[in-house]
Amino acid sequence: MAPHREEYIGEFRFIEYTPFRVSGEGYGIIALPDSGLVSVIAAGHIIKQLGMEEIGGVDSYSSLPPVLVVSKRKLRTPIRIFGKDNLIVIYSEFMPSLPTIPVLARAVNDYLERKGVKYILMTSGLPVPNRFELEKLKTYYVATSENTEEKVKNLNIMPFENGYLVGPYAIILKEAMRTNMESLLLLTEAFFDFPDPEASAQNLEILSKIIGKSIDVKELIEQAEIIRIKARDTMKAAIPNLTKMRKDYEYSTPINI
Amino acid sequence: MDEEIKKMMKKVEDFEKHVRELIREELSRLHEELRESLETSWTSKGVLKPLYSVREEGKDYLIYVDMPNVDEGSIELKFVENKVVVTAKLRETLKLSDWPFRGEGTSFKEYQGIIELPFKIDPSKVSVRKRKGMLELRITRE
Repeated sequence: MAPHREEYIGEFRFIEYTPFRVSGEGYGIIALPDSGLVSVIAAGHIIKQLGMEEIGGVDSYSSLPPVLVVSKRKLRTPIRIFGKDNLIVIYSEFMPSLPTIPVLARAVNDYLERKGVKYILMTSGLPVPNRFELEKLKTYYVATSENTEEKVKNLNIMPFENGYLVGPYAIILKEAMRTNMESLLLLTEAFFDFPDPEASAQNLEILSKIIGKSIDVKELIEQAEIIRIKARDTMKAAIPNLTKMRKDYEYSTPINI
Repeated sequence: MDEEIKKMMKKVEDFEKHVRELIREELSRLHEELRESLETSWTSKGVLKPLYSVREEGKDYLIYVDMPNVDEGSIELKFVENKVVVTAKLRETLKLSDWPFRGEGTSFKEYQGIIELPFKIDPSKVSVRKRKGMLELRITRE
């Protein structure tokens, strides 16, 4: 069946299977492979818990891997878009190549703005060397403006005061700042190179309060070991790209603050 | 004069040999990376290869092996020269019904993995911790 609509933003083709626009104060969640696959695991859980509909996708023959996703016998693009009420989720288990990410960030930013999104929300893992020993994980936030900081004011999480962020979210945040799109990144301590559903669950508990939707993480925690098994190949595929991006800089401390 | 030329040619030959060695090492590394990336993380005989990471910490090497759903009592470690061989059974046989078609019907029962280090391992210098389906090995280099 032909898509309802498609348009090119830069070199990316945005496809819509069904017309959609967020209602009210719209939120856009972007989930790409990063440390511990925290964002992808979290987004997958939101999509399932909220019963979100797959409304579209993003593709590019030149800038994305030559991948076709087959989902419940339907043919889908490597980057998938889900929508419901005031929420759009842009979800990919495939890491775009490093030169592609800035172009993709601009295109996604543009698309979300056109769909009525007011805030871009991202969740990821903050790799820490002692994650193996940690019982209680800390969560930090990075906000592009004071207005966005208001969203996490009473949520008892700490600002990411100083340091480096490396990877797709660093670029998305920079693009969001450049275009004045309110954006927030939640970072929970996580493994760098193992899927970390516990960190995803913690991010989701905070995210649910921000977007005003109840997201039950009990099933995510109960299924954590199965998710860790299923996510292994995606994690394995993401690591070389993250390593090339010099993710190790995140362990460094800036010399001058 | 001949002596000078001979010395120069020797330097050129040594340099050429060095460059060939570097190219050979780099090609081997790339080949190994490609081979690893194309390997599946599971076999049709129900074996899962665990994810692992290796990190240097002073004179110790830290290895983390991720084995969710493992029966911790069944974990076996063998040290063969510079290799750590990890085997373990899963707590219960897993049949992932929504696994891609390729793996459909496969029942996963155990983990098997081999981790190579750049030095010979002395088993008496290995300490092991287990937590939430993950193994930490601290190996002190001689």
